[in-house]
Amino acid sequence: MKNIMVILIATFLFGINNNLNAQSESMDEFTVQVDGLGCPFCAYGLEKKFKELKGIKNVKIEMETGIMDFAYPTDKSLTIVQVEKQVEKAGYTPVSVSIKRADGSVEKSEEANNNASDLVSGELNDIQFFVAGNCDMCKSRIEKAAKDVEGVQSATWNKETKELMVRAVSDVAKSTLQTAVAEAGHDTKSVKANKDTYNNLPGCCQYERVQ
Amino acid sequence: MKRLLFTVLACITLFSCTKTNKEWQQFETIELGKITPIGFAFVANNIWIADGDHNQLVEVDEKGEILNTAVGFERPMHIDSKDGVLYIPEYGSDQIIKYGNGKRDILSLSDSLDAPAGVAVFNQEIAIADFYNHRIVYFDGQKWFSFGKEGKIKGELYYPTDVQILTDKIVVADAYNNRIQIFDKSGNSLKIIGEEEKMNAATGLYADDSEIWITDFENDRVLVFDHDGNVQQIITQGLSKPTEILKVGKMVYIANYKGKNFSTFKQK
Repeated sequence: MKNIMVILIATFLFGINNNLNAQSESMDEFTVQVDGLGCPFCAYGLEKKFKELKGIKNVKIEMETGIMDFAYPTDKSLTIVQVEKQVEKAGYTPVSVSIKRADGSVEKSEEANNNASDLVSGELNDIQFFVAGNCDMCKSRIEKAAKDVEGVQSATWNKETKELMVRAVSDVAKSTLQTAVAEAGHDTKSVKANKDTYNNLPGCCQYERVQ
Repeated sequence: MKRLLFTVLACITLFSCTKTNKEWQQFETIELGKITPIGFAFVANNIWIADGDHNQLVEVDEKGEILNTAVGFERPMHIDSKDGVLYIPEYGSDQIIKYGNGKRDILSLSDSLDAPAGVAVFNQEIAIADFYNHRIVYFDGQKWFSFGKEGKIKGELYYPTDVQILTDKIVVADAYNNRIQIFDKSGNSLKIIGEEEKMNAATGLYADDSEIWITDFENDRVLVFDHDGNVQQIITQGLSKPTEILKVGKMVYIANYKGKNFSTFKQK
């Protein structure tokens, strides 16, 4: 009887252990390419803020490459869009996200983004205007906001002159671009960013407001 | 003869009154390989470098030769030293680590930090730049208290990244207010310096009784002020995203985060 009890308890404990192992192994692996990690205080801040997410493990940012890796429980079903939003919420600009799910499947965001600018065709115009900003993180955010406007082929912001140069199909209006950039938190001479959006920018990005 | 004597005396007086404003000039650049320096401290004739990107501290000699490496620090930032012990603010773990003779201890605090970016030690006093809480946490030798709160006006801070304690004041790198702010040891703001210099991230500082140095991170500059706030010199030569300044004897060391090196300066 005593032996049976020992076997039963051992089997029970073995079962619990296996279950715990299965749970701990069931993590999805994420790789996020983040743009504009020029300032260590802000970059380490991104890593720190991600570490605070419940269940997240192995958060690591490689500063030279801008690549952030982390693992997240599979049962939370974290999506590419949610990751991108979390990165943007922290004030950073995601370039690409890839997820290796626990079942071995892989999801990537890169192809969709690349195709968007490839699809731009027709007569192209250059549009140039002032956008307020400070640093490399600002540059990434401003350029992404402009590139996300349909019909934009390229966007380059100069940190020294504060001028944004956009190449887009002819029906993209300057005001549309200015609104997009302002919605990302950056003042132009015609359209100003919302106060809350501005306040949510990382400290290093809080430029002198345009009067 | 009387006129000649008068002229000689006038010349002597004139020369003795002329301000001998010696400028700091770059001496050399010491390459650090893959090390990305954020903070410096001087211990036993060598320099300890906080390498935030690689979560390590590295001891180098004046030529940049690596003497020691200590790994496993969570984003070490603006470090300081006293009596051979390094004080290391760990931005990633919200702790201050005391490191000496290979031994690590956690500094006991009465309050929690959120991303400590700089620490200063002076006699029995300790000051910590508490980045996300926009304040300085200070031990005056008897008790801990904090001063500063989020904001832009005098007495308020916006993401402080470095701090230094002097005999009668505390100097703060008020980083994203793009200025230096000086407090008394009760936490009252005495003076703001550098607001009109259009700095873009005033991240690292060094102060002594005659000068205050500050790194203007995004603009690749270091500005030298007197304690009244007058600019004495603006240094740009050899700087690439400077993060820290250390003055030892007649030599000034400036850490270049992006350049992965440090520049040395001498007065000429």
